[in-house]
Amino acid sequence: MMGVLLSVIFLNNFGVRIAIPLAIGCAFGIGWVLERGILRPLIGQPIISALLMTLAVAYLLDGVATIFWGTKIVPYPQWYPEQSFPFMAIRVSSGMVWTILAATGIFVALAFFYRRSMMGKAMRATAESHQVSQSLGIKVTRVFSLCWIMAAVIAFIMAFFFGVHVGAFRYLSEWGFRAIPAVLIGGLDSILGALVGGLLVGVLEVIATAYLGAYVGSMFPFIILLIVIIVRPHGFFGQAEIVRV
Amino acid sequence: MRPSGIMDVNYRQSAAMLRTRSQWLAVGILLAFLAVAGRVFPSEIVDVMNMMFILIVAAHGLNILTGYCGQVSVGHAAFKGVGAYSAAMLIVRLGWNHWVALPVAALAAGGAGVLFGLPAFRVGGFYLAMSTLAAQFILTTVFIFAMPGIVGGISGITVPFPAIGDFSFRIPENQYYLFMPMCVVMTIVARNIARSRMGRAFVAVRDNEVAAEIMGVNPFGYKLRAFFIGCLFAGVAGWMRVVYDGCVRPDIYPLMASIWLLGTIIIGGMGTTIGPILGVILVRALNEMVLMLSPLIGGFFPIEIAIRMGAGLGLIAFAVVVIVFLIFQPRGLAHLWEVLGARMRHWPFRYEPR
Repeated sequence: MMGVLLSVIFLNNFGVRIAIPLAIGCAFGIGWVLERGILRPLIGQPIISALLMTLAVAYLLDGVATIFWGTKIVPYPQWYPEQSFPFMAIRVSSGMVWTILAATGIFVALAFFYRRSMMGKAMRATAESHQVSQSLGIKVTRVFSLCWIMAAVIAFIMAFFFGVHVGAFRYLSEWGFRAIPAVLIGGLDSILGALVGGLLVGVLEVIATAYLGAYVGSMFPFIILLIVIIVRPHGFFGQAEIVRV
Repeated sequence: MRPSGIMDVNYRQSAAMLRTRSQWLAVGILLAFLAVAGRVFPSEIVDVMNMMFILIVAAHGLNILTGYCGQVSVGHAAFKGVGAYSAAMLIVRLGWNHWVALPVAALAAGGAGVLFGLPAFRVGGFYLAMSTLAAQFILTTVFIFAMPGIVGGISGITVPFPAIGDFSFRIPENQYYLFMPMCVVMTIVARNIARSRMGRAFVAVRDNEVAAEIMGVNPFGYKLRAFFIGCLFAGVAGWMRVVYDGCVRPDIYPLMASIWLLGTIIIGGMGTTIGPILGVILVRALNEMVLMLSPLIGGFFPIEIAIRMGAGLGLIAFAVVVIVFLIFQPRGLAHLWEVLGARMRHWPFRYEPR
């Protein structure tokens, strides 16, 4: 939501060439400040604290956005040339192509980052166990900072595409929750899982909307989520957690 | 925490909720104050207090589930909604009496809680929280879209106010004498659940599931029981909310309300009985203050920003208080309350809080 609303300002005032680096810079700053100021003190506390902290931050930003933008939809500038061309039997708009290309690029980059780079491996190790990775010489705090900065930057980049499709308004923060079924169904610690889960949830939602009505469609991802949590808690591609006694 | 050297010398004393004469006195004064408050204070304040009573009952439920049993629920408002909707449907569509509908509504909410708590069989912690998030989204969608003729759709159901003889629970002053005793009773119930065998089992499951299982506590069974009891409280609160509003609407039970409750018990202090009470009072009072102050602050801003000040500031104030408490006082107001008590007992000597 912040990404979309801020990018509106940047795009309207500076044009695309400056707006994108500026937004990424902002995301960098916001991610770093959030981790450093608000989530660092919570290391070692139960997961509910971190969960609630992020929700509180979401509502804080929501409140700020309410005051400055209100609840109306802000028109989003069309920042890339929009045209549609035929592709096999359907017409595809260039916006769709750009969005898919950007998403694929980020996916490939992330996959390489996690598989190949030292920092990516450190991040996966930290997810496994804070204490073990700290004692093996990984700077856990730096990993956390990087996590938050990456998350914010990716969200801001996708905001540029999202804004054009959906428009800018403050209820966008609820959209974050819609990503949760996709990630959990695919498996939390798997890039491939997120991709497959996202596609699966999206397609199933559209199918359910078409055949069973909009009312079943909008809650369908969460029904699938419940079934997956009961049947296969770690998702389709995630690693099962082994409990030792 | 008791000061060292203060022991119980017989079973009656050990089982007593109030141990000393000064505690009896304090509770007596509090009850006397509550008994007259509904007639002394102006109507607006009584209305705010009614709201607090409802929220305290709901917060007790969430506290048993999240604070004692450690199962985070981000769907508590939806469970409250289940209670409210079943009460409204029983009263309006089937013509039931309000008082008969109360236990049935509470049981319905408890049943919904058990249904969405079933994943506890396989998972806990974060995944279980996500299943309650799913419950929130699924249930609110059902409230809006399922069978609008019966459930009421987007405009909800209008419910008549209950009455005993000529004493109608329509105005806040009269509602007060329904909500206040209910809140007091539910508080006592919550306290007794927490210190019973079941409450101790909840704490064991929260602190270490594997250890609890080895000691003969069945984690799955107790998680489901926590879900049932927590949502039972939510159902009672939902029934109260129906009486308070005189209607049910789907927009009363959004995700925001669930998170609001979660934040409230964090601020109050999870895993204590006094925590939800203090938390609700603080957050609600803060909310009222923001509503009062926002026109003043709005005066310094251009008019198109000032009109949105109230809604925005409410969110910001709540978020800031939650953040401050999570960082500086994760044990909440209940801990501060305990430190205050210990300081007073030790006065004029120093007291170092643990």
